[in-house]
Order: sequence, then structure tokens, then C-alpha cells
Amino acid sequence: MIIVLASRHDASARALVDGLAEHGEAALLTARDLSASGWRLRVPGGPETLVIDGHPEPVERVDGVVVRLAAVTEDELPDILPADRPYVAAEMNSFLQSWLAAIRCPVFNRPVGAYLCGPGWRPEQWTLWAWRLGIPAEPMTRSQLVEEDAQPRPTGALETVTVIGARCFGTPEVRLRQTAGQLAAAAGASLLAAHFRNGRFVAADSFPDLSSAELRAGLYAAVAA
Amino acid sequence: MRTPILLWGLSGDSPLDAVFGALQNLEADLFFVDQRRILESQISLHVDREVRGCLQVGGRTVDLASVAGIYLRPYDTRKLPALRDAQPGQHAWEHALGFDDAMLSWLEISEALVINRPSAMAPNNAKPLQLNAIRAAGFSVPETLVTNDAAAALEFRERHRAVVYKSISGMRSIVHRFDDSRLERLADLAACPTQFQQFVPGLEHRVHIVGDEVFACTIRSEADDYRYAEADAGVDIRPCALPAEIAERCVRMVAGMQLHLAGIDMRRTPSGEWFCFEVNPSPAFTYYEEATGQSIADAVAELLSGARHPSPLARETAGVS
Repeated sequence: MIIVLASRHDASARALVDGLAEHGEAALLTARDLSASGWRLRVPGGPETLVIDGHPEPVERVDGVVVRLAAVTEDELPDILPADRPYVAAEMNSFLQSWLAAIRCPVFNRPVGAYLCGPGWRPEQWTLWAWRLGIPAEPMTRSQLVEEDAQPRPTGALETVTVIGARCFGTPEVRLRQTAGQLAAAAGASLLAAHFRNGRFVAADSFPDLSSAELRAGLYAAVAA
Repeated sequence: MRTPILLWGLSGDSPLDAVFGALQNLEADLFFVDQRRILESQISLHVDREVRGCLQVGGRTVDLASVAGIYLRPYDTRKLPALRDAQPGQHAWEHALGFDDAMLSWLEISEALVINRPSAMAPNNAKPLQLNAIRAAGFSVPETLVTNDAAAALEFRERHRAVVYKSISGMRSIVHRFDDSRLERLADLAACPTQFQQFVPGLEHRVHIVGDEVFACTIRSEADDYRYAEADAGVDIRPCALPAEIAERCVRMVAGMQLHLAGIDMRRTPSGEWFCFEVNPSPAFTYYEEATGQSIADAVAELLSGARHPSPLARETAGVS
């Protein structure tokens, strides 16, 4: 079974579950599922059980996890008393970080730090890493100083490469595919969207659009591999 | 020459004030980013093959590339007095959160000595994750179950007899015994997975690591959580020396976590086994400093100003991440 961890509001995640279900068993997991009795995580030991659709399941039933949630927010917890939501959201985030880091199956992406889906790097980190890897990149500027002149905005269409495990999708250009793969490896991300303009790196994030059948098939194959 | 030392946090915060004072004694070039002045603070960040920019607070400006050391203890900006009446979408709110986001980005990529980088501090907000890192460093850890299953919690208590429960996130909570008086609350357990831990008897130790320097003390208290002990319960804190092997293991563990400052909670059992419960990357060390006379703030200030060297292992493993 493939688990898609997402917001309860995320329609694209529900569509992803439906798409993955064409290849095999798939289920949606939201923060509300963490309020159903049956979760167990041990140290030492790791995850033992989870709860899907109200039913406790052994963790061995999970073949892979796709994370489409950056963090559990209070908005994800309508069944929790409002006064308790900040605490419960923080605890659930910590639980999911620990659970996803320890589960012994492919996870796209494993959490890094406080971010549930991959490295959670800010734009400046991606840009600096690109330069350090020898990848041409557009400079990144942000300023709160009113006297600084606004930088001219680069023009040109964005090209996006989606990295899923060891494979890249989205452009026939080999150099961009290799570059996206390099960045994903440097960040420790198995699922990544890398954006380019005029052959230069612009930005990256760990929430690629997975609405195409090709990408869903690629994701399923990566889990199976 | 890179000289300024930057402090970020709230004036009045005890550890921050202590390090500020210690740096003044060293006649360091100080730049204090006081969160009380968040609406007077601006940052500009430019990144290509190098990191440049500047930071302004009131009329003072610092070149980001010139900063040699940074000590941070920021509070939740959304709760600052300056934002009491602000709402998301309003200029003050967006300015303050934008400032924080740029600061947090810079702290990850700055070449200055950062105590500590946010990414290195993050595992402390997921205690089971950090426990695995502590185990990997060679310390014993208490058997731990995180569950929202009442039957599993009861079975765990049956097996270990003495069990405590506490939070796993960065939210502070009081450690409680899982005794019979708590059974009536088990019905609430399903709402959120909760951490239950084998109670480990022994002598409490708090160990502060600054670079490769060790400041250890013992804590004697009758309370389950000495931090919240009643005034008349008495908390006796005294400086102590750790066995060399344990001290070295602490330094290596902290350096391996890419931390330059940490407060480690440990217990030595009657049989001599050392258990480690948590590595706090932003310790309120002044509480222990006042009780023991240990010069922890001075050590932090010396590390920031370059008067002492960071742990070689932490230096090797620190980087852009």
C-alpha cells in the first residue's frame, strides 16, 4: 500500500491517491487520522502501527509514503478543542517527523528538520548550493530596504524538471536533467521540482505537480523499485 | 577583518543578556538585533556564488559578510508586543515575518560561527528522532513508546512498572508519572500520540557543552521534573566532574549534531550506566550558572569572539544545510 500524507483540503492529493490506485493499493492520510487510536512508535524499534480509515494496520503493510504536507497546522485539526490545537499540532508534527524518518520503506520525501517534506530549504540555500555545484543560477535577492533599487526581473519561460528517485521527467534536455538530479542528491530529496529559465537554475521545491499519468506511473515505479 | 558579533533575540532574555554582558567584557564589537525593535529592523540578502547583504536596526547597519559570530534565541515573533494588534496581511505582520524568514535563511548560509544553526536545532523538536541520534552516539536511552492507543500505553506501564509521560515537540511540558491518578485521562489519549518513557532512577546531571568545553552539574530533587519543583521541595544543584570517557562522548555527540552549544539532560543509574534523555540546542544555562558559578556565558562569548576554537568535529560537519 502507498500512503499519501496530505492536507485534508488538498484535492490534488486525493487525485494522486486515485491515480496511484490504478497501479495498486493507495490511501490518503491526514492529520485527523492521527486522532484515531492505534498509532505506535518505539525507541528503539521504530514505527509499529498506523491507522488508515479508522483501522489500525501493521507498518509492514506500507510499501511507500508520498509526503505532500509541509507541516500540520491548527487548521488541520477541526476535531481538537481550539485551545489545544497549537499543542496538538506541534506534537503531531514531531510525531510525523520521527515516524517518517524511521519507517523502513521508501519515503518521497523524508522530513529534514522541522519540514515534513524534504529539506525545506529557502530560495537562497538552493541558489547558493547550485553555485557550489557549478550550476549556473539566477542571483537571488530579497530586501526590506526601501532605498535599494529593485532588481530587473529576468524574462523567459520556466522549464521544470521533476526528479522522482533516480529518474527525471519534464524536459528532453540532458543537461537540465543532470542538473536537477545533482541538486536533488545534494539536498537529499527523492522528489523534487527544479525550475530553470534560459538554461539557468531559478528555484526548486519538494512539491512537484504530480497530476500527469506519466509522473504518477514514475512515482509508483520508484516505490516498487 | 570580520569582527562584529551579532545577537538575535529579546532583551531581557536571561541567557542572551548574559552573553551580551560577557561580550561587553571582552570589548567585542556587538550588534544586537532586539526583537522588541522588530518594526525598526530591516534585512537585505543577495545570493549568487557568495552571500552578501546588510542588516539595519534603527540607525545602525551591519554588513552581513563581516559578521564573525551569531548567537540566537529568538522568540515567536507573532507573540511580540510590537505585533499585539497586528493581523496577517497587515504591513507590520508581513514585515516582521518577512524579516524572520530572511534571517533564518541567512543563518543557514552564513559563514559566521552560528550558535546554533536552525537546521541543527530542529531535531530537538522531534524527541524520538533525537533519541535515535543519542543512541547512535553511544548513550543509553530510556525505552520509549509514542502512542495514542490506551491498551498499548497500559501494557508499556505493566512491563516497566515506573513510567513517565511528556511532550515530544519543542513545546515545554511538565514531566508526569503515569500513575493510577492519570488513568481517568486515558480516554483522551486517542486525540494525539503521546510519549511514554521508562522511568530511569539515578542521579540527575545537566551537562553544558560549549565548543569542546564541558560544564557539568548534579541536580538533587524529589520532584519528577525539577524545573517545576515547588519552592519548598528544594532543588540542589552542584558542579561536578564527569568521567573523562562520558565527557568526551558528550562533546563528540554535540559536535556530531553540528551544535556549538548544548544542554544535555542525563542520569547516572545506581549501577553506573549513563542514560541521556535530551540534547537542548538552546539551553537556558543561566539557571545552572547561577547555582554553580560556572562561567558558561563567558565560554559562549569567547567562542563567538574567536578567543576559543569551536569543536573540530562541529567545524568539519557544519555547512550549508
